[in-house]
This record gives sequence, C-alpha cells and structure tokens, in this order.
Amino acid sequence: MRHLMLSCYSLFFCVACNDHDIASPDSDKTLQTPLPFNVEQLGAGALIGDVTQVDCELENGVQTRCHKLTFKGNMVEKGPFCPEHLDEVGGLGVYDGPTNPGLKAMDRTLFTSMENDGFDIVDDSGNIRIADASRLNDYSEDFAYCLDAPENEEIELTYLLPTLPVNRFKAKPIKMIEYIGFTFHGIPIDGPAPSVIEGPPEREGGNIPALDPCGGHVAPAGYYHWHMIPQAINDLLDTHEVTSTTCVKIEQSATAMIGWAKDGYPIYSKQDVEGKKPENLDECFGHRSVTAEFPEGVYHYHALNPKAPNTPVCLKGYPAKNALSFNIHYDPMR
Amino acid sequence: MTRTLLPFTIFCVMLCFGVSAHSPQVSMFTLSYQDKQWRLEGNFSQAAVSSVLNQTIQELAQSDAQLEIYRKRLLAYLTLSISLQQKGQSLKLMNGHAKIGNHQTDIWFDVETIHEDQPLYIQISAFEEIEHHTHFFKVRSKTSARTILLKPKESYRAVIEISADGTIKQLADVDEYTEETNFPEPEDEHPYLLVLLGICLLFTLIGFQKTLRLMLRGW
Repeated sequence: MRHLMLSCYSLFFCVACNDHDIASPDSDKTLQTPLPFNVEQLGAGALIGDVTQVDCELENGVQTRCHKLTFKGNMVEKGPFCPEHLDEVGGLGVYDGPTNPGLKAMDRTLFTSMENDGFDIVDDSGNIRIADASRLNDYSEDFAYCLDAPENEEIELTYLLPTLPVNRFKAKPIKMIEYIGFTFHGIPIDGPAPSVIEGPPEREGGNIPALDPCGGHVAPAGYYHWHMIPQAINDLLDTHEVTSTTCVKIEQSATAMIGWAKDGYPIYSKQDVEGKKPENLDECFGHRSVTAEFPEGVYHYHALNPKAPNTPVCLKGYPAKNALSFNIHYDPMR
Repeated sequence: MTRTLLPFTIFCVMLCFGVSAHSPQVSMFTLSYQDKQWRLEGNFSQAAVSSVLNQTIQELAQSDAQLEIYRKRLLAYLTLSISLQQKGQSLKLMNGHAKIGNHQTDIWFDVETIHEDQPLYIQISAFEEIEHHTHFFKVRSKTSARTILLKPKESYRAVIEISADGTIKQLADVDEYTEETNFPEPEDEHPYLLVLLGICLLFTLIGFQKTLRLMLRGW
C-alpha cells in the first residue's frame, strides 16, 4: 500500500515539476483577438499574404489557436559587420576575454585586446582575418576570425503566436541563441550570442561573430536575426560607452512596441506609454500595464536589460511547437 | 502488484524529465564540387550534437583522447544518418573530419562521384530526435548554387538532379522516387513511447482501483 501511495505521489511529482505540463490560469485574455497588427508596420513589404489563425499545439501539449505570419527573410538594411582593416570600424562584438571585455565596437581597441589575449586575428599588415561562418572548414585553425555569413534571399520565415498566451508555472530562462520572438520587420530575435573564448582549443577560441551596429547578423543558414532589441540599442551603446559606432538603419524609439515574444506577449522598448521608466518589472523585465496598443492593459516585456543583450531574459508563457519555421522560395530567374 | 508498478512509475518520472530539454532547430549542410571532388560539409549547433550524443562538450575533460572518442562517435552517427543514393546505390562518405566546438561543430566528408543528369536521392535523419529540426541543404555545382530544406514532415528527404552544365533541379515528388531506392519507410513518431505511456496508465488505473477498494473496505 505504501509503495502504491509512493507511486501515486511520484506520478503527481512528475507532472507538477515539469513546466511543460502545467499552466497557471492567469492567461491574458486582452490579447485573445484581434492582435494589433498594423500591416503597414509589418516591415517594408516583408509580410507574405495575410495574418491568419490556425490550429496549433503549445509546448505543454495544449491544443489552441495561433496567429500565423510569414515573412520574407532579410528585409532590413543591415551592416557593416567585420571591418577589413584595423583603421576601419565595423559593427559590434560581445567579447568575453580577459582584456577589455563587454559589448564593443569592432574597431582597433577590440582587435588589439583580442591580440593581447593571444588570438591571432590581425595579420602583419593590419588586415582583420574574416571568415564565412558557413564555411569554417575552409579556414586555418591557426588563426582567430571575425565571423560573417552570406544572406540567402530565398528564405521565408513563418511564425506561430498563441492567440491566447498561456503562462508557465515558472518563467523559463532564455538560453544562448534561443529564439525569443520577432520584430515588426519579420526578423527573429535570438538570445545571447555565443562566447568568444570558450570551447576546446581546436575550434572557436577567438572567433568572434560580428553584429552590425543595430545588433543583428546573418546566421550560417543565411537569415538575418537580432541578438539585441534594435530600437533601443543606441541607449545600450551609451551605457556600455561604445562611441565609435551607432545604429542608424533602425529608427530608435523609447516607447514603441517593437514586436512579439514567441509566447504571444508583446515586446516594447524602454519606456511606458507616458514616456516613463516602467515600474514593477518582474524577473523577465515584463509587467502588466496600459499601452498605446492595449488601452485595457496587457502583460508585456521591455527592452530594459542593462546587460548586453537587452532582450528579455526569460519568458512567462508557452510558445507554440514549431514557433519559427523556414521555407525556401526558389526563384530560377534570380 | 505494487512492486511492479513502482519501477514503471520511476521510469515515467525519468521520461517526463528526459523529454523536456530545449534543442536548437537548424543544421546546415553544403554539398559542393571543388578540386574535382564532391564534398559534404555540415555545420551544427553544438547543443544539437550534445543532445544526440548524450554528452556535452563541457563534460569532456578536454583531453585529446576523450575528444577523439567524441569525434568518432559523431562521425559514426552521421555516417549512419546521412544517405545519398544514385541508381539505387549508396554513395560512400569518406575521410570524415569533425571540428568540435563549444557553440558550433563543423564536419566534412568526401563523397563518391555524383553522376550528372541522374536523380540524387538525399535523406538526412541526423538530429531528427530534436523536434521540428530542419536541415538547410545547399548544393554548389560547378556553375550554380541552390538551397533546399529537409523537413521532418517529408522525412528529411529530397531528390535533386545536377546537369552537366551545373544547373541544379529539385525534383518535385520525393515519394514518386522512393520505391527505386533503399530509403527506409517513414515511421510513426516514437510509437514505443506511446506504448510505454499506455502501460504506465494501465498500471496506474489498476493501482487506483485497488486503493479505492481497500479504502471502501476500510470504511
């Protein structure tokens, strides 16, 4: 009998401890439908077709409805990324080596710091060693590289957003390069970029992925994505005393809604609707309050993480399974 | 009865934790022709590699010997899960190399000669354990390049044809060609899990029934 009771408790424990299997009831019905998608706001012609609603399954197994949006990839102005020479300034890099770590402009100071730490990333003529991240096998392991990758213009991205967000029992932290959500340009937002210095000595030590000054870059698979909230990045650059480059290709806004997290909650820039610093933020840099788009109030995230990246550090709700998927639109005439 | 139920319950608990890990979604393969040799390169998230090998790079002591074992396991896994076929024959993957990284791992194989103007059947089941994983498969011929997606709903299969002038065509219907090849038939997703869960549920229900009876008798 005791064994039987223990078994029952164990089963309950299994269900209760797994955040994929339990949802708290405080879903935000404000968001149910329709979402405030201003089609003109949705990236310069990037949206393909209409925003539709489809059946979908959340990560906790709940069958529900999701908004489905498909965008052409890479539909923003981007770059510069890696500078070709020490005398030039490229985009941004997040460096975690011992000399001068942090969010840095890709300039002489950063590359000299890397050289000081033993990474051979500058040749004798002052040229920066640059590698295509999708073809690293072509490059010598004796050197460190600034990583860049070519775009694939054929990529389309499809996002599924729960029409009615369902909260987790406990917020889930964002892992390195985990997909977080997307901006109105139809561009994915990912979690923190990988470490520069970690890894076995045979690979990656010293290779630094280049972000452009707005905090995005092209993945080896060919699609551009952000590692920062671009509309609030210039403030972040000020905070980190980055002065040699600035984001000019994405309009900066302190109050704008910038897109959606994959759990269905909106993401806003740094300030609330009245232009003040948001109050009562939780561990994910989110709170419930009135916004311009949701006058009755809604739970939402803010780009207020003072560290780089400035993206939410955790998500409150469950995303749909297959929240981001890809397609290739082959054009033989291209 | 309860002795039988307990191990199953413990197994269920382990199963619940085992399936909850997050895994990266995308891998990149490039089949290219260079120096008169076809080469297949792969570019993976290290988290995906760790997930399928059940060992993270941080768990290795970073000794050369351990890294070498890890590398061999990865290459063996890929050799088994990558299938390229022409004229009903599997093309050999040779001289495998792997560069293991903290964030990204790169591999390559030399590929036996690919015949022009012949369908090339591709199936890559690597990382299919990771739900919704997608492969970007890029082909670079002498004169052109083309990317196709290998998706779970198509069992990660595609058929292409590379013509003598380097043009790359994707042939539309994979299933039309399947009978001519040795592709394994697509299987239902994890049927064994469903069976195990069914057994767990059955034992639990029987257990509850017995408990209820005991309680009623007690009253």
